[in-house]
Amino acid sequence: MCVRAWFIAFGLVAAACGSESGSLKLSAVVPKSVTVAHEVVIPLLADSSGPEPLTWQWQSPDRPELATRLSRPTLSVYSGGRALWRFTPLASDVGPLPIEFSAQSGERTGSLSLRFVIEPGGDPPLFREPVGEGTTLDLRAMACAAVSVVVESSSSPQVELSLIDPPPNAEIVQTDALGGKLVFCPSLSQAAAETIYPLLIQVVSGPHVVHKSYVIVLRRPA
Amino acid sequence: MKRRMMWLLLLLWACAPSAEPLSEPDPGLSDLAIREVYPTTLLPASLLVIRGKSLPSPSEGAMSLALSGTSKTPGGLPRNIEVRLRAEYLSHTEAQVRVDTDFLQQLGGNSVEFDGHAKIVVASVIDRQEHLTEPVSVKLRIVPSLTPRLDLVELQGPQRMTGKIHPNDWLTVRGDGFLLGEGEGDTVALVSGCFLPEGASEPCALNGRAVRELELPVRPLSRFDRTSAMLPYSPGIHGVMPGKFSGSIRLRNQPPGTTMRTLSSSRSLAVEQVRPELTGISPSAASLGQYVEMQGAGFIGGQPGQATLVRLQGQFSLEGSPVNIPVDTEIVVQWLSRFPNGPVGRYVLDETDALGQALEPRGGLREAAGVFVGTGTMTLRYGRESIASKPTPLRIALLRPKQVVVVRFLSSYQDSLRLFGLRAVDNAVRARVLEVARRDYAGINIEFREGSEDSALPTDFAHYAQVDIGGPDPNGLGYLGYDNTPGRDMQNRRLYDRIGGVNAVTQNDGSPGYGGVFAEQLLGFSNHPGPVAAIKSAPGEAELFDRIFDPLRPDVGGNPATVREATLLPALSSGSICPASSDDRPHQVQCAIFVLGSLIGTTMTHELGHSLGLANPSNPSGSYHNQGNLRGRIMNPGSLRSFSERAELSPSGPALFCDTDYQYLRRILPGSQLPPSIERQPCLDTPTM
Repeated sequence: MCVRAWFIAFGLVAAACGSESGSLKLSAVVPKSVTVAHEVVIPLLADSSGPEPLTWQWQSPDRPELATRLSRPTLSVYSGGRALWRFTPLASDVGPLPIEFSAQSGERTGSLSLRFVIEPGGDPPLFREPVGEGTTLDLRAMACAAVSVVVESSSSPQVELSLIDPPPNAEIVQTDALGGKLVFCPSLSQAAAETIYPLLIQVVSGPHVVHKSYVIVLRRPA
Repeated sequence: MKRRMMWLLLLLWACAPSAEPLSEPDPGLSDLAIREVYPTTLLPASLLVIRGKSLPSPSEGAMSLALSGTSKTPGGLPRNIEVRLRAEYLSHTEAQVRVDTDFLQQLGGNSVEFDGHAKIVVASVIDRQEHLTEPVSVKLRIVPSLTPRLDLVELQGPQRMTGKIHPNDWLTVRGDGFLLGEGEGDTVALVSGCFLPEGASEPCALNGRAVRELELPVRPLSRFDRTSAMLPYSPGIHGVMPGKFSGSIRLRNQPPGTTMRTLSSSRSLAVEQVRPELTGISPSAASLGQYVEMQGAGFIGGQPGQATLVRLQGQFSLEGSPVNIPVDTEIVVQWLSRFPNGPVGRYVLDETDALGQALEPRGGLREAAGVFVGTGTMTLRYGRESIASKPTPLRIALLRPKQVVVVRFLSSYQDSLRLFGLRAVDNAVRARVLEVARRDYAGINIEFREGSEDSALPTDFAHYAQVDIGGPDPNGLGYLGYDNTPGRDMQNRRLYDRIGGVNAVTQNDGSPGYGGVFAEQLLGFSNHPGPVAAIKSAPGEAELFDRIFDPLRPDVGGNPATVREATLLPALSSGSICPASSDDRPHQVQCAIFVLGSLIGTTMTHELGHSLGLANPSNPSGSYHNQGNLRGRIMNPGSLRSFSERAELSPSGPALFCDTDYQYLRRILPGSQLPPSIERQPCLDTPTM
């Protein structure tokens, strides 16, 4: 059997073609790279026109534990020699991942090697609080605005919160892994100089940086 | 990346084994259709959008646009062409083709008129067959560049004939040759003139403010319209204060990657800017996390130094209480550039802002239901400028929280349907899933909405939950479903839980990270579960499962259901006739739809129950499942939930939330609907420690 595997131009298509009558021909489509928390689906195809049932197997030569751990890939076998290999990588899977597929139908066998790269990716974090565009600070009633900030992050259990170019007396105090408090206590001169304080809240979660605009509008003493 | 994928799918096609096509066509493509192709005038780097039906995602097949007809260059003779252009999947209803060098070469250059037909061609990965749609007639004009022509500038909406305008009111421009954005570039407006503030005397050149070629973005009135466009009368022109502007406007086309600009002739513009107006709100009743839109005119925001505020003054009467609370607070509203009935100001009921905080002593937006009656006054802040509307009478009802749940059916779920022989009747299965969900949560303030990976997110609620219906369990544990939201969300503090995808926090706690409902694992109830692990079940259960699904499962020689079969009979509302007899194919199909929809639906309502804080909702350390061995309770552990109960084939009827679980749900999400009069089993909750 001759096994050919080629990553044409972008490393996206692979095929293993058996030259002898006793071999199965396998082919697949695989993306060049995938990101953590996003499912990669690899359609597989075997020439299995014979009457014998077709069985599929896969393994990762570099990461044998991939087949047995939690959050492992799944292989769904369909009729007509088709199968789908699905995997949603974890943060710990970042890097190149080689996969070997093999199929057997009676005496006929075939194999196919693929390789793709898992990138950190993941979904960008989402601001869950504050959900609105801003708030007013009535300086007749209180000296500071304190706004709860809550972030949801699918790819990292911890984020970094900050304010971009904050005005004096504005800060974010991070209170836990995914949250904090935005505090702004304008000075008398700030309250006299300006009534709209646009703030830009930044969250960094792994490779993702997301911003949220938030405005604090001052209601000054009459 | 997607375009490469398309090409390579085609390459794969070319080097795939040369076996005979599979006998059964991919049922996912049975509705494949092309409807229209837009825009009809194209420039280099334009995007040609194909609208259709049941378009396949890249993992299902490669898509091309086939054009056949005549191509004619200026002064040349028409020549027959037949070309295929790779198309990029956007959604199940849209794909696009980029007008690149290859496109232009195939059509005959960058100055061509094409007249003919278009079809979509799909090379299916699933059945290895080529699928073609019926053709539609198409006329395309390809030009190297466009020069804008400006015929008319007019005010939009109620201001149209008045000459009066508010900040950010829409101006419409009519002419031709406008660019549509994306790859082909943009059209912008250049505004020049003089603004004379209210109260200032002529001449404007002396007492007013000069405006010189202020550049404003122009957007097409509709997605593919090159003859009508709109632009906001931006406060950047001369601020938000009342006064008169007199000047001119012209348009400029800005293609990408070149300094070449083409200009229209100018048209005069004379308007009087007036104070903002607040006329009302919609909806007049809303709950936490819901958007409320302010109606009126003059809304600004979205840029540094701009804000729109609404001051609420009046009384808030608490529901069920004689107490009236005086209210005087200001809220910040978001400017949304909606056309034509906009822009609007949008506010979201937020626990963290001034209004939310003001209600905190009364239980906040979760508890303090009631009615505000008073006035609203809109104030625009623009740098140091401030201008207010007249006060407007307002009445706003604050409602108790509502949980919106978007049930997203993923493509992996659709793939798994093939294993059950139900891919073609996907919509019928979904309908049953949602029917089960709505029934189980009847009387609770939950609204279920259907969604998919492509579908738009809700626009009326900022906070909504999401449940993903997928294929196999990515945790590799063979779960039928898993709530991967972190911890126990007692009292449903999070209205935005996502049961699906991966959750890093949950994973960090050592729990499985992936959540959702895993439809493929339901095959485990079979005696021949194929690719999934078998699920232990009572005698006769696996046989019952197989009597339902074997007639349709392709892996055991069954015939998958067709779209037509799903329409032969009305959907079942009960499983009492299931399994159907072997000679009653229409009922076999309906039974399989009913059973799979019930299995997915009841698993979903269970997982959603977890994310709402069940079971043992008053005990943080209590079990996540109902106590004891009573059957028929939704929050029972999996071992107590048999196949026939989940599938609703059991004579005892569908499972229910037990007594105190249901009372808890009514407390945190009290619906206006009366609870169904059903006898509920005891929950036997663990006492709070």
